Amino acid sequence: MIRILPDDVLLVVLEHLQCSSLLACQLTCRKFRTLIADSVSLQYTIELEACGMLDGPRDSKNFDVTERLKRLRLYDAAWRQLDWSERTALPHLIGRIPPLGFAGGVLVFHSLDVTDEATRAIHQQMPSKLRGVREQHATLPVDVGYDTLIDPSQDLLAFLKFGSAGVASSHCELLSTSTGEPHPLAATVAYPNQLKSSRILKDICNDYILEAVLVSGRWDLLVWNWKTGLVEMPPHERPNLDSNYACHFLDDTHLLVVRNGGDDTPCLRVFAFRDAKSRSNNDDKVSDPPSYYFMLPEHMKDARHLMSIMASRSLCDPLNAGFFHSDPDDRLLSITSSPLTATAGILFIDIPLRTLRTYIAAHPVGHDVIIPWDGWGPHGTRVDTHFAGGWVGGTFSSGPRRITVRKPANSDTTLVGIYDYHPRRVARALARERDGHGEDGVVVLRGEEGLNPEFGDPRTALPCIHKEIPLPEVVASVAIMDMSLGVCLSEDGMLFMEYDQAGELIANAWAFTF
Amino acid sequence: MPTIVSVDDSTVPGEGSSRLLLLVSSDNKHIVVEEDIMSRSRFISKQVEGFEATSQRHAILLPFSSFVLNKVIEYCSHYRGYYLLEDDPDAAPPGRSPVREWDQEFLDVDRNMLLRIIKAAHYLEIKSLVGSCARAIADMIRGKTTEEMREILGVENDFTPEEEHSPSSKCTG
Repeated sequence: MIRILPDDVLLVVLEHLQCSSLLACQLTCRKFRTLIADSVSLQYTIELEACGMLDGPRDSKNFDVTERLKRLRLYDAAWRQLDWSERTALPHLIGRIPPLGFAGGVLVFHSLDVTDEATRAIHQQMPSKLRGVREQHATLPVDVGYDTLIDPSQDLLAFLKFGSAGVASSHCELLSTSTGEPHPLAATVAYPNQLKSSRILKDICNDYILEAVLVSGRWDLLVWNWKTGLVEMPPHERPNLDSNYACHFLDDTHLLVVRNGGDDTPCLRVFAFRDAKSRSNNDDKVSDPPSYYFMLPEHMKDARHLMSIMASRSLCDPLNAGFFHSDPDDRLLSITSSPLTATAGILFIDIPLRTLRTYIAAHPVGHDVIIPWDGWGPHGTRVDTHFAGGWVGGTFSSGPRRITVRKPANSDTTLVGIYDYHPRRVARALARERDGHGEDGVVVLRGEEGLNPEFGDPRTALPCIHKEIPLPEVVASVAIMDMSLGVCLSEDGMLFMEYDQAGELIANAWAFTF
Repeated sequence: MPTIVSVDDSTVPGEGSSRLLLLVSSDNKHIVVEEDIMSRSRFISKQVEGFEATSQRHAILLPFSSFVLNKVIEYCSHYRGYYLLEDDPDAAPPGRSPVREWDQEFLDVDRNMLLRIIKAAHYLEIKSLVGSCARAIADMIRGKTTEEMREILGVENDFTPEEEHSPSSKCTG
């Protein structure tokens, strides 16, 4: 029936579809397969999404779609082979401690210079030859606290500034990263600033900031809107939450907390925080937001163990943010853990938001809903359960699609493993490797099936990359005592920071970029 | 086949208002419409340029029914005098059509009708309407499985078993 339409009209229709629909459509019949395969523009749409990237502005006359597709493929191939095209020295970073935060290729550093009374922030844009992004850095003449959140897509740098009265009166500053001036969209009066309590910034998602605040002697979570200054989820007593938990935004409606259940059973707890606000407005009293517990099965001992380590991490631990990451766009929640115990491992859990929403819609709000593994876990899940001594450290790329894992190979070298875990490519469990120091393990839940195996397109079904590379000579002495520090990953490459023998200051900083 | 009818200039109602066009649909209905309304159609505009070159005006025969034609005229009347980027022959074409609320309501018709409208819009070279219809068709299949798409699009699986399981050919750019 649709065949009455000429090809150029069909192409206009297809232009409106996203990657997954295009992949499904190319399997309908020969006609559509040919149409989609022959269109540069549609192939670009597919590969852009398969790489986890977004298109840049289309006004540039230098980059037509053909050129964009070419560069995208070169970029992706370079990442897969870890074949960097440039090594850039970043001398202005020497003497800085590793970044306070990084996202979208933008890193923010804090000055450690004790002789300089005024502390400063350095804003660093990682370069990319293939994407045509130049290296840029700037010093922001602001006193940046340790709690920093950045959102490059909104040009936002949020941090806590401690008042003269000490931690009890910390104030959240919202700056434009590019100018160092107050952010033009930021609210002038922010509700949490009136709380006069100790606070920790945890996460940002679009308009919302998640933070932990100390109320009546216990830590609790608070969500507020940085553009309006209004609170979305107020802090209040939750008798069934202990004070230690790792938390993140799942999307701009849901909050995810990893916790131990009453009987020390680790589980994922999801709050629908925006519902909480509307209900507290209506009832004129604060009540618990509806929450949903996603349970792990009994037999997944390693996964449960990793999750319980995460759940028991102190809320005040600034390092834990890097090891716990959720990805709203791709419906992938991935969690890593790098405890200083004999057990080490990475845990990936993929919860499709669609599944989650089905549960949320099916259960009445205001109740705690316990969802057993059978309800949300996949069938045929493969869990790799090899964990032994040693440790893994890692950073998430801001994509997020890759993770670096560092581990000592022998006394002289450090290996860096790159795990490409972009969800569209998570097709099978990540490889695990052995060396003289035991075994590092990776757990992938839901990994076996990938997102859409029926598409039959190899670009969406690539196995995760796990490649180990010896660190370049220049950075072989990276201090391995720091777990998350020393290697940072961005969309465009890796930043290595070399420590001197004292293990304190950085002797060299290099960017290896694609 | 309808006979070619010449439209006399005296039918123009008055100074300043648009001239009239006679459109003839495939079901042989004669529809008189102001030239101004149809100027969004590149096809009609080219016809009108032809009239001016030869100083001869005649009816324009169209290969679709009056039902579809009236729908297109309704669309053109609604946007009479409006600038729509997609219809500007000098502007760079946007990749995707913007969402226009009125269009969404206007195109809330059955699947067959939608296909007829987009086909007519393509024939008449009204890019904004082609785009809006394309968006509406894309909305119908978005997020559907391959099997559901076949049902909606009315296409048959014509792959051989080998083809079906082979990876699709890759565009070389």
